[in-house]
Amino acid sequence: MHLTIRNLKKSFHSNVVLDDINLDIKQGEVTVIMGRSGCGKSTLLRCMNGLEQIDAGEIYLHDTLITKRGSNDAHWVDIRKRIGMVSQSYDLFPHMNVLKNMILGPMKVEKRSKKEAVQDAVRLLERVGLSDKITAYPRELSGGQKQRVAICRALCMHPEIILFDEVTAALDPAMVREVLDVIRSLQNQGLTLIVVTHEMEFAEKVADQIVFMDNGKIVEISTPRQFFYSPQTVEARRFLNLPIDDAILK
Amino acid sequence: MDTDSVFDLIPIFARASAVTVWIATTSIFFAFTIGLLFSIALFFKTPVLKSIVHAYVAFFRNTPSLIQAYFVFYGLPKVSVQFNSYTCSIIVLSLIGGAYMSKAIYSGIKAISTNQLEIARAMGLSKFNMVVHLIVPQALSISIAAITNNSIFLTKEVSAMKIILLPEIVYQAFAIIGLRTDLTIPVAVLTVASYLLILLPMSYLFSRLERKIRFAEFGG
Ligand SMILES: Nc1ncnc2c1ncn2[C@@H]1O[C@H](COP(=O)(O)OP(=O)(O)OP(=O)(O)O)[C@@H](O)[C@H]1O
Ligand SMILES: [Mg+2]
Repeated sequence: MHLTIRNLKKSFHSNVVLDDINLDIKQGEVTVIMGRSGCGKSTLLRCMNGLEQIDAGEIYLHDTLITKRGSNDAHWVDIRKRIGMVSQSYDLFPHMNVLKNMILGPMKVEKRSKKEAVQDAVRLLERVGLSDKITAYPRELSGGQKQRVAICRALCMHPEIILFDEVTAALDPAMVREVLDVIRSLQNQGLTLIVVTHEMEFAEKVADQIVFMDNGKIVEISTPRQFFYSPQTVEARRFLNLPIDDAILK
Repeated sequence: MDTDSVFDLIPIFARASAVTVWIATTSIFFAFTIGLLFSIALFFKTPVLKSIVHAYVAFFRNTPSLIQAYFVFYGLPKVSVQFNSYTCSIIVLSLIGGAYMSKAIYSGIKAISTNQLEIARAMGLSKFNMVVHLIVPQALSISIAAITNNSIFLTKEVSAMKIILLPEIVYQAFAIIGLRTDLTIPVAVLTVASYLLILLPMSYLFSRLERKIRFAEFGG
């Protein structure tokens, strides 16, 4: 088991956002997390790399407990090297060109040489078809290009796991495809991917397991086939706009 | 004053201008340094430091520089702390400028998107690296116009130091007119000319810097 979450709880003041979350994520698999807006998907991802402090429960990376009480940013640095994150808003550094965006982490966090970091960056950009943008600034790129650079920036750190939080939500349909293609291409490289998305078709084709959340709880964990064609819970059927038959209601 | 012609005034104004430029540039340098350090302290919400910075900014922005200079120059010697008028001017102007620069640079820092800093945290970047590589370069390029204004303001504010006998431009102008009222007009002309000769090139240099920073930081 790669990432294991046990009895995780998280509240903001009196608002319980994650309620007794249990989840197993296997190495090299793609886990897609779905659910209505506000159900806690982003918060769950943010707990995995310590951007949010959890209130109760444990998260293990392999067999190491990573959510020790009172652990500070310094403790998380080692884990964050291994867990990359890409978000909806790209968040490229606007004052740096594409190359500098990509080599900052490897050089400053992983202390790798500039030469090595640049080689890596060049190779990755080539793979996503952006070699000609290496000296471009973020504002000279389209949304889809920015998001591909953001993914490459995460890959530059050689993570074992990447968290994707609605990375196509801000893109128009033509660009959604180019970004999803890049994510699919990562699937066969032993990377563990945890993807929050509303792209049903992508989820169905790519996911090894679908985690469906509702109101801070995981209500269903299943294969894509089962989730999309015979979901077990009322909440999931509502979410998928499927008829709710009496058998399930009982 | 044994000045016979207007031309004899020019060396006086040249020396006075040199004093103004020297005091101004030194104060701008210190003010910038104070502003940078304090705005970073504000950003990290360092508890005690934060209150100190707020009090400092409030005090120096809301009291006249004349009074501050007067106090430092004539008041502190009463408790045996004495500075000459040059040192005293630099101290007072650096502190005033520091207050203004803190505000300017801090508003630049606040304009940086928090998402961006959070993804930097998620990358494992240390606070130090965030400050050096993300916060400072962006804050400066956002607030460069305000920094320019503050620098020009500080240069003009050197004239307030006449109260502590700093031989800068306005001090000399008043001294000459006090002795020779017939020179009022040439002195006024020379005073204005001196300021223009200092501030126009300075504005030009800052606007060059502004364009350069904007170009380098945000890709033109
Ligand atoms: N920093 C915060 N402080 C207070 N409440 C928060 C905070 N972050 C999230 N919440 C609340 O937690 C709940 C879950 O938010 P979260 O962003 O995890 O939802 P989500 O499933 O990612 O939604 P979306 O699909 O809209 O991105 C929401 O009710 C939100 O208002
Ligand atoms: Mg979200």
